[in-house]
Order: sequence, then C-alpha cells, then structure tokens
Amino acid sequence: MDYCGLPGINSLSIYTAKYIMLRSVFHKVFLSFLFFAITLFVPFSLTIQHTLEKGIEKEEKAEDVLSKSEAHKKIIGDTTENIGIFAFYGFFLSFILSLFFARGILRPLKNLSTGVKRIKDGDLDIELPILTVDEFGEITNTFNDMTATLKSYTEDLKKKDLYISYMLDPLWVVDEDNIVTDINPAFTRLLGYERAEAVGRPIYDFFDVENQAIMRHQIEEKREKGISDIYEITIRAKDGSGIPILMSGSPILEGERVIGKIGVLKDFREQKKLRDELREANEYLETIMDSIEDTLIVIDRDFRVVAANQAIYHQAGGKDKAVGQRCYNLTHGLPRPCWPDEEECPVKMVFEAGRTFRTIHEHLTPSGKRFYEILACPIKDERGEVYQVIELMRDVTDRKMLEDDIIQRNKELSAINSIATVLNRSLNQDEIIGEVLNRLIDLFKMDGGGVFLFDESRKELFCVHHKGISDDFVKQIGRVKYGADIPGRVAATGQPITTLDLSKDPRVERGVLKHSGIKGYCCTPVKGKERIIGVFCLFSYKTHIFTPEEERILNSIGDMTGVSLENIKLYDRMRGLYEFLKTRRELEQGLLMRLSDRLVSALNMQEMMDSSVSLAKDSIKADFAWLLMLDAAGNLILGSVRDDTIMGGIHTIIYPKETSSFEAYAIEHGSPIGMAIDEETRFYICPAVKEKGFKSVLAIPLIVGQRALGVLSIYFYSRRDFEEEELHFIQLITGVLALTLERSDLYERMLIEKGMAEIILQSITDGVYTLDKDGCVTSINMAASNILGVSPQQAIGRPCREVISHSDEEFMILCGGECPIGSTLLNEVPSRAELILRRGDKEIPLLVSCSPLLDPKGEPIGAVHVFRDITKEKEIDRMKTDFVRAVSHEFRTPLSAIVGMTEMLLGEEVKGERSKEYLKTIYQEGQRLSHMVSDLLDIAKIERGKIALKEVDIDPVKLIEASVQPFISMAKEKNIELSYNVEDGTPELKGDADFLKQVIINLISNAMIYSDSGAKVWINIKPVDNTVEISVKDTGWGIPEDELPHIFKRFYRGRVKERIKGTGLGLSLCHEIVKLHGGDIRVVSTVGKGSEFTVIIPEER
Amino acid sequence: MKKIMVIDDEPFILMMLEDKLTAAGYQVITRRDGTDAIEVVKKEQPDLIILDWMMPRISGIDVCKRLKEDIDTAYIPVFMLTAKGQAADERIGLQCGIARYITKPFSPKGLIAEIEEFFGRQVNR
Repeated sequence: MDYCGLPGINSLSIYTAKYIMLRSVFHKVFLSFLFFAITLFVPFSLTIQHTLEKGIEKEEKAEDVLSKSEAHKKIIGDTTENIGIFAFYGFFLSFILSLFFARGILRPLKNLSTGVKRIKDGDLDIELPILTVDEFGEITNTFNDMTATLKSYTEDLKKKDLYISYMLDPLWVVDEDNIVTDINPAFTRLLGYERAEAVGRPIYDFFDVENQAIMRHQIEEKREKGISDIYEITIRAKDGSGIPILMSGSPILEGERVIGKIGVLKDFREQKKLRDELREANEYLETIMDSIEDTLIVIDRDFRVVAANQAIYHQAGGKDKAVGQRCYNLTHGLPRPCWPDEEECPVKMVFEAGRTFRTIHEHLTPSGKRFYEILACPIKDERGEVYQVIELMRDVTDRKMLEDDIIQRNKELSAINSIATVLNRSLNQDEIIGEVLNRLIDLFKMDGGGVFLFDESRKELFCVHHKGISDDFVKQIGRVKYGADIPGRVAATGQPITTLDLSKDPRVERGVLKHSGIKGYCCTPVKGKERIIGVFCLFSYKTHIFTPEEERILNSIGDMTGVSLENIKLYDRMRGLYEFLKTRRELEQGLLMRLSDRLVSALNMQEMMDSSVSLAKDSIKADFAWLLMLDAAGNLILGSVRDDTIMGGIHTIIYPKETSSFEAYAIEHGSPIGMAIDEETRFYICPAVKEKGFKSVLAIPLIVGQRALGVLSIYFYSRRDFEEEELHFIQLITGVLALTLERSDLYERMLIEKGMAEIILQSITDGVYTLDKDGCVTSINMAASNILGVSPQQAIGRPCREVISHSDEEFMILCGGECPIGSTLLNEVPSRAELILRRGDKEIPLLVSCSPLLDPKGEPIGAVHVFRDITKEKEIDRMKTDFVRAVSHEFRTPLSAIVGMTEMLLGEEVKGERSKEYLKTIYQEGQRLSHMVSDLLDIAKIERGKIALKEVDIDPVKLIEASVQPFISMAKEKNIELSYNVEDGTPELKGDADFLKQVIINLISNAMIYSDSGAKVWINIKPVDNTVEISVKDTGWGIPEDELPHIFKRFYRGRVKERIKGTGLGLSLCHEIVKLHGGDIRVVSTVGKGSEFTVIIPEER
Repeated sequence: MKKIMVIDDEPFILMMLEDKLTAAGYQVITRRDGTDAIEVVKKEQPDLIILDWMMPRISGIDVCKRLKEDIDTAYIPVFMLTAKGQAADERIGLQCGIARYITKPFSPKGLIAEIEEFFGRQVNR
C-alpha cells in the first residue's frame, strides 16, 4: 500500500515546500536587484553623465551649425554607443547574476523535489542534506523530520499489515452494513476466496441458512451492542464445503458507535475431529469395557468405585449402582475397609506397592459367595503416583471347584498308587495284605480292619490279618462261613457291602460283632481273575458314610490286590517249575556233552551209532534200545544195539521193506511214537525181542531234511507214558546222530564226486576256468588251456585278461564295462558274451559264459568262466545268412516277372502277341522258380539221406545232348562257342539219368555264366579205367586258388558275389549227386584262363 | 516328353518297363548292361535312369557311381530297381546318390506312380 500517496500528507508537504521556496526566491530577487542597482546603475549613470557632459562641451565648442549639428550628432552617437555598451554590460552582468542566483535557489529546490519524488515512490528511507542555512535549510530540515515521522508511522503500519498477512488464523473486517471490507491471506487459504471475491460481499453470503441464523444472532444481539464473543459456526468455503470454525468476533468502536466488526476465524476442523474421536474413543472404550465378561472397576484412593463396566451387574445390579460405592462394601458387603481382616486386599497392595497384583478372592455377590480371580493394576498420575486402581475380576468359582475336585481325586489316586506300589513291590502275600490294610485304614481314616481269605475246601473265610481289634476278638469272629454274615455274603456275591451303623444292620448275624461298638463298616471282595480270593473289612467306631468314590476306590483296590495275590501264587509255581527244569536241563546238557564228545572222538560210524544208542537208552532209563538203518531199497537193517544179552549175540536183523513194523510206522509218520505192547499189537516185532515181554516202546525216526536215515527204538519192561521233555531230549539225540551220520555219509560221497567232477571237467571240450574275486585264474581245465594256448601252470594266478589275450583295443572295450567276467564279478549275476580271442595272428571267436561262484552263505568268492570255440558255428552262420540272402535275391527276380506282368495283363495294358510273350515270360520265370525250389529240396533230401536213385543205363551221347540243349540259344546270344564230344568206347553209365543230367547242366550253366562273350565251352566224355569221366571246360574267368577248396561246400558262393547270380547250391548239389553215385568231382582252374570240372562216375558199383 | 533310360540284364524287365513306360507317355531307352551306359547317357540325356544292381560285368552300383562322378550325368536322377532287399543294401544305394530304391518284385503301376510323383516333385521344386 502506498501510504506516501495519501492525499492529505502529500498536499501538505508540497504546499509547505512551495511556500518556503517562494519566500526564499523573493528574498533573493530583492537582494539581486539591490546588488544590480548598485553595481550597474551607478556606473551607468556616471558614464552617461560623463559622455553627455563631454558631448555638450563639444557642442558648445562647435560654433557652426554644422559643427553643432555634427557635435550634436556626435553626442547622440556617443550616448547611443554608451547606452549600447552599457546595455551589453548590463546584459552580461545580469546573465552572470542570474547564473549565480539560479544555483542558489535551484539546488535546494532540486534537493527537495528529489526527496518528494522518492517519497512519492515509496522510499521513506531518506535524509536530505541541508545545503543552506536559510529558509530552504529550514524547509529541508522540516522535510527530514516529516520523512522520519512518516517512516516510523509507515513501518508501524507495515508491521501490523505483516502481522495480519502472516496471521495463521483467517480474519475479516466488516463494515457497519455487514459488508466484508478486508480479509487476510489466511482467509483465502482456508476458504479459497480471493480478496477481490470476498471484499464487498455481505457476510451472510458465507453461511448456509442454519449458520446464518447463528451469525445474525451474533451480529444483531452482540456485535451491534458492542459485545465481543467467541462461538462455533460452520462457514461455507468457496468449493461449497462447510468448514467448522471458532469465530472470535469483536466490534470496532469509534467512541460509542459501532463502525464495523472484525472477526478472527479459527479453523476448528482438527479440534472438532479430535473431539469427535475422543468422544468415539470414550464410547469405544466403554463398549470394550462393557463387552468384557470379567468385571472391571476403577477404584480411587478413597476406595470408591469411580468407573465400572456392565459386568458389574452380577455383583451390584448395575453400573450406576456400583459407581460411587466403596469397594469393600461392593465386593464384601462390609461397612468398613476389609483389612486387617482381609490381609490380601489387592487394592490396598497396589496403592502401597504401586505394581500389579494377582490373587483369588472370595466375594459376596447377590447369588452367594463366589470366587474371583483378581488382577489389580495401578493407574499413575504424571508424578508416577498411584491415584487409581483398575480391578479386573473373573469368576473362577467353577474352576476352583473343579480344581478342588481334582485335588481330591489326586489324593485318592495317590493312595491307590501307593497301594499299587506295595502290590507291585512285594511278592510276599502276608506283607502285601498287611500293608494294603494299613494304607486303607489310613486313607479312609478308619479305626481298624481285617483281611479274610477264602478257603475253598472248607468253604469258609478265615482272617489272616487284622488291625485295631484284639486277637481274642479275632478268635471269635475270625472264621466266617461262605455266604454267611457280611464277609460271607460279599465273598459269595462279589459285591461290596457298606453300612453306616453296623449295630443296626440286619445282615450282621453274629451277636459278638453286633455288640462290638463298631458303626461304620465296609467289606470289599478281593477278586482274582475268575474267583473270589477273600475280602477286606474296614470299620470305624463312628458312623461313616461311604461315598461312591470311596466305594469305587475300595473296589479297585480289591481287584488289584486279588490280581497281585494271584500273581504271587503264579510266581511260586513258576519258580518251582523253573528249578525243576533247570536241574533237568543241566542233566541233559551233561549227557549231550558226553554224546558230542563221543561223536567227535568216534573213529567210525559204528562207534558213533553205538554211543548214541547207549546214551539214549541211559538217559531215558530204558531196558533195551536199538538203531535200525534204512537202506536204499527201503529195508531196515540193524545198525546198533544196546544190551547184547537180549539179542543173544545175534547182530543181524533185517526188517524187509514190506514188514509192518512199529519202526517202519514211525518213519512213515515222521515223528516219535510211543506205544504199549500187548498181545493184540498189530505190528511185527522180531521174536528175539518179543519173547522178552517188553510192555512199552518208543520209536524215534532219524530224519535229515526230508530224508529218513533210520529209526531208534527204545523198549521198556514197564508200561509207561513219555513226557514231552523226554521226547524232546531223545529227539535231540537222534537229531544229532542223524546229522552226524548224514555228514559222514556226505563227506564220503563228496570225495567220490569231487574226483568225478575233476575228471568230467578235464574231459569236456569246453574251456573252463575259475577266477577268484580279483579276476585271477584259480583253476583251468585241459580244453581251456588248449584253446587259449597256455599251460595250466602259466595260467593259474594270472589275471584273466592276460590269459585270454586280446588286443589293447579289445581290452578297452571288454574291460570298459562290457567284460562278461567283470560284470559277473561286480553284479554277481551270470552273463554271456561273444568275444574274439587273438592268438598270434589268428582270431578265434569264443562264446563265453560266466557265472558267479558263491560260498554257502551266498557271498561271492569269484566266477567260473566257460567258453567254446565257435569258429565253425560262426562259419555256418555266415553261410546260412548268405544262403538266405542269395535265395531271396534269386526269388525276387522271377517274381518280378510274375507280379509285374500279371498286373499289366490283368489291367489289359498289353494286347495281342505281346500278351503271349508276357505269358511266356511268366511261365519261364515260374519254371525258374520251381527249379530253384526243387534244387533246394533235392539238397535237403540228399543231406538227410532220403533220396533213392532210380538207377538205369544211360546213353552218354543222349545225356550230353539233353544237357547241352537248353544252352544253345543262350550261347548264341552271349556269343559263346559251345561244343561237346563223346569219345569212342565210352560205355553206358549206370545211374540216375535226371540227376546226372542236372549235374552236367549245372556245370555248363556255371561255365556260361562265368565267361565273357567269345569264350569257349566244351564238354568231353571219355572212359578212364573203370570209370567214365565227364569234363566241362571253359575259357572263362577262372576261380581264385583260395576259393577252390570251398566251392563244393553247400551255400558257398564265390567272393565276387555281386557279379554272380545263383543259389550257391549248384556245385554243392553236383557234388552230392556224384558222391551218391560213388563217384567224384574235381576242378582245375586258373584265374583269367578258365576252369575245367571233371565228374568221375564208376562203371560199376 | 520325358525320356527314361532303363538298364537291366533281364530282358523281360526291359520289355515290361518299355511297355509300361511308353503307355504312360514316356520315351524309353533300354540297355541290357551298364558297360557303355555312360556314353549312351551322355548322348541321350535321359530325364531318369532306372538301374538294376546285379548285372554281369559291371554292377548297377558301379554304373551309378560313374554317372555321379561325371559332371555331365551327375544331375540325372537314378532309380535303383533291384532284388537286393536288405536295409543295408538300400543304405549303400542311397549313399551312391540314387533318388529312389525300389525292390523287386515290384508293381509296374506303383513304379509309374513313383516316377510321376518324383517328376511332379521335381517340377514343383
């Protein structure tokens, strides 16, 4: 705001300045005028006067008119000249003067006007220099004072303005017509109205209807009457939202008149929110408190309840009733504080100690006494002093009752437990009974009691232990009949009886008891597993009501004691049995030791048998014993006998297989059998034994595995039963004997078998050697050393890979996981493999099979390695494969004709003559196929020797002609010269015409096939000695020398396979046929020159 | 018109194929062995050669090798028509660069289909 521009201040200062300035100017002008008059007018007047004087003088001097006129003129001229000079001089002087004055007046003027301008621009921070000590100086001084005053005034205003602008609370100024005249920036910030928007609007515009009323009330009732007030109101912001504010409104007074109002608006949103939240929090807290099931009260230092939750209802019948009461009154119904009666008042303790306490208290409530668990916590003020206590009370009455119940039960249980401990600790019946009785009396706080045991034979109960009564009294009541009186009834029914006053109980039959003074009484059965062992009686001289729990405890103790007593009996019996068995076992062990000693030291089987039989007889205290051995045929033969006197020196007894003897029956049965002997026995007994009159017999078969070796029979003069123990022992002896016999038998057999195995091993053609775990040879047979080319001495102890020597490459392959030996040793499974043995430069294919060698426990101890030279098999295999391939090739070509041509014929693609040609070809190729098949069949037949020659006399010429015939056209085609010759004197041949023709055809065919165009083939037949030689010679390719030995082998085909068609059967068939005729076939051949095959057929066979 | 050369030592195969191929609209040249095959092929420039494997003097495989070695004939596709039916044989054939391996006995109709499919594929390619 530009306060310098205020009209009052401005006009005043300017006016004052001008005034001062004008005075000074007049003063100066006056002074200058004076100065000018003095300095200019005087000399001027003098000069003019002088000049005029001179002129007049001259004029006077001049006499003539001319001269006078001239002088006159001269005077005028001089005067004019002087006036001009004077004017010039005056002008010059006044210029200088004006310059001088101008400086004197203008400087302070300029100074002042600058100052005024700066004030106008708002710069009040100026002090003008005082240039002159005159009116201007005064004016300047006054100006400076004015400026200073203005400055301080302005600064004051500025500060206020600043305060208002920086006031955080919005503010507005309202004029008397309730129109807003000013607002501060905070107002804009809060409500969004710019100054321009707010100023000029009536204040009611800023409120809604409801708040307008409040505002109107304030304005009309208070502000207009000059009263300030602070009140809440909601003002409408520019965006339309209502903002709650705390308005502090004051009237602006001028004298008594209200000329406006000023309002400070305090943003009340935060406070309002906080207030709402606080209210909500209080409500929330109260809700929470009320929702707590436990009672919660706050108590102050006067023990007055200041707050409580809803749960207090149970104790006080309502919150309102509780608040204000004293806590002791509320919880304990006391008119005064509860201590010192109640030492543990938690409230007091919290006040004293200042910390939280927890306790359980009995409180009085409208529904009676209840237990509360109390948690009392201090509430401290700022100084840390406890001024209130929160008491949280939980009703734990039920829990406490349960706990009490549990404690009671625990007591009972521990009583039962202590009794159980006694029962388990001791195996002494008297001790147990006494101890249990004592503890029961203690447990039930009785005066005495007694224990009766049941005597089954007498059917009565007798007292074995008593307490709290005299022995005399016991004598009177110590025996009770089963079923009589209370103990008798209890024993008979198994149900306990309790009575609170014995003297009045009708079940008491004996007067002495009735008048003994006993009142409380109980009787509990002591039950064993199935029967009543006795009863417990407890009594008291006071009446005693037995609770169901007590009865239950009594019952369970009765049961426990019963079981315990039974256990004692059982234990006693077991002990007796144990002692008995121990003695017996010691005896048997001694006998067995003797037996084994004898068996070990026995030199032969007979001695072993004798020892065993004698021991068996002695151990069972028998009168006679013998051992019959089962031979291979199934007969029983006497092996050993004890008590020779009976046999009368007879040492040979045989029960033939069919004999229906007792011994045979036992073997058949497979287990020991005892029997009484009498006249009617259905078994045969040898007369020598029978006449001795034995009354009973025991027969035990000797069995190893599934095999019976014989039978041991033991005879007695007396009739007797056999105890299990005895039987077991005898069985043990026979078992040992059987095993010993079997082993000695096996050993002998093993010796024989080992020899045989060795012979077999050495005589078989397969190579066999055994290896230890490390793969070193441990034994080797002849065949193996022959195949491998090493002597047994060289082989044994060396690793197998050195024995089967193969190249490094093979070694790698075989030992790198594929080695059958390795895998057998590693995996303990049999394996098979084919491998190539290299012996020098020979390669021998071997079939190797490996099996692990296991010891009797199944642990691997090495491997056995069996191998076979399979060179021949390989060769045969190769030939067979070749044959199959050749045959399949040969079949395919004719089949092409048949399949392809038939297809075309059927499709009627070929017509007329052409179709005939096709059919012809199909026919020829079919024939070719059929020949091949018959060749194969012939070979097969001849191989199996199932061919019968149709021997006839054959004309050699006809034979040759017939053979050559099929090749004539082919020879022409291939340009081969085919000729034949039958030498003179060639006799008729004896043989099968078809076969021989086939031989020759095959030979010619070969000659033609293996020859190039232009070759010669000729057939010659001639007699040599008693044979006929037929030779087929050609100038073809010839046969390599190394192939010659093989060409007659079946399936063999020349190495130049690719160039040769054929089954590989032709020459083989020829050879077979010729051999069948008792003849021979030979070949001479040179590669590149040709071959000559010669068939030799004997004239007569 | 495509030109097909057939080399087989069996006359009936030649006869059959000549008839069939001619009927199917091909020009056919036949040879009974492969000795002068190279020269004939060079001269005739057939579009396809059907070759037997097992032939006297020179085997089909050798013929094929020679054809493939010569720059003038290497591009001509060769079908091998043979009685050798083993997988190993087929592998050898394919290694020599033949286009199709057809085993005997064969169906002439099937062969034509094969040829046409092959040519079709070639054209498309």
